[in-house]
Amino acid sequence: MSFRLHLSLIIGCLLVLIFIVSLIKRRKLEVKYSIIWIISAIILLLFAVIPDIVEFLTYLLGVQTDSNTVYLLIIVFLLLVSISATISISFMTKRIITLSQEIGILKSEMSRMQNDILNFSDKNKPDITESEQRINSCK
Amino acid sequence: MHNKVLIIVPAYNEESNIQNVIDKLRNFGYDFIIINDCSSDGTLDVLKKNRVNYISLPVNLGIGGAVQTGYKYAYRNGYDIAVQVDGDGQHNPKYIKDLITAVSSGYNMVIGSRYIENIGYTSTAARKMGKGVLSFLIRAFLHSKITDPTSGFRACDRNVLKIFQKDYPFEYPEPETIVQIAKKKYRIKEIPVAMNERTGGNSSITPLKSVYYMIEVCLSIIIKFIER
Repeated sequence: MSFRLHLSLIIGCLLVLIFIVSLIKRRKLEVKYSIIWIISAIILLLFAVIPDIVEFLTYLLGVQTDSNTVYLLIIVFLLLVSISATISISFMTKRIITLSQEIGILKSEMSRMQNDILNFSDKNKPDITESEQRINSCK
Repeated sequence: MHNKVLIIVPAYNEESNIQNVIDKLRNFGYDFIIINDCSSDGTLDVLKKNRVNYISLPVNLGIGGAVQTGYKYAYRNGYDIAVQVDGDGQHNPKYIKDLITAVSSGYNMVIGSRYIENIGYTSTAARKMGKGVLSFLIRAFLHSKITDPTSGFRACDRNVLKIFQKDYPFEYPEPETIVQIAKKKYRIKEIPVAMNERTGGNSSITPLKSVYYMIEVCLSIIIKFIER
């Protein structure tokens, strides 16, 4: 590997690491995702600083060139991240559905309670239907 | 000065333990609220039957989300001190007044530690070793000696309440909050307590996951230290 390429890779990885740390500092990520990204950034930096590791992996996996190994590893990593993200999305969708249903049921119960209270206190009021309409129309 | 104290009791599938906890807390006379973290067993029935003050969450949030719900309730209702007592019966309410006294004496967060006097149930050997590692990490990062970083038996004052009701860790709240609060230069103290062994049901942390848990917690503490 040429010295310039090696240097560019190290600088690139350092920039990625700084970016991840800044994301963590600004609390943009949940703790467990911060862990995943910072470990990945460190591993990437390790590959850049010690190319021998990549050479060894190239030999181990039976891949043709070092760059192919890096691409392969990054692709596998991205695949795992995407799958994990779709699992999270599915999980969150179910929870949002549950929450929406609970809110809907709560609103209906509240509206019924408001109705009961007004009916009770409006015993002397002549036009009860008008109050009922008002409650039912406001969300 | 009379402090308004609230006991927060997170409970997830504790139908066999929660009755005992309710009876003991009623004996001591503190205000308490039980957070039912969407239990799938009969926990909610026990709560309803006892006519206790409770919040039943529509989805399961885990210990972090459940306890934060309690902190939100405490903050919004003007409580000065909030004490966490787990719904599994491991925490003995007789130590609550010691926690309150310690908070009143000028500490922002007081943790009941099993390892200062090493009495009562101190958990399995594997977990103790893990907690030793955690203690070491916390001491290295924050220069504060915490002997029991995974103890949920803790009290906090209104300053810390204000932080927690807005910002509370989701995954491993017990050690993460120590880092979170210590970083803001708040004062943390530990007092010795004896805890009981779990009398019924299962802990939500199985022994198999203990090692994985310990690694994750250590990493979480490091992340928490980098944050903000």
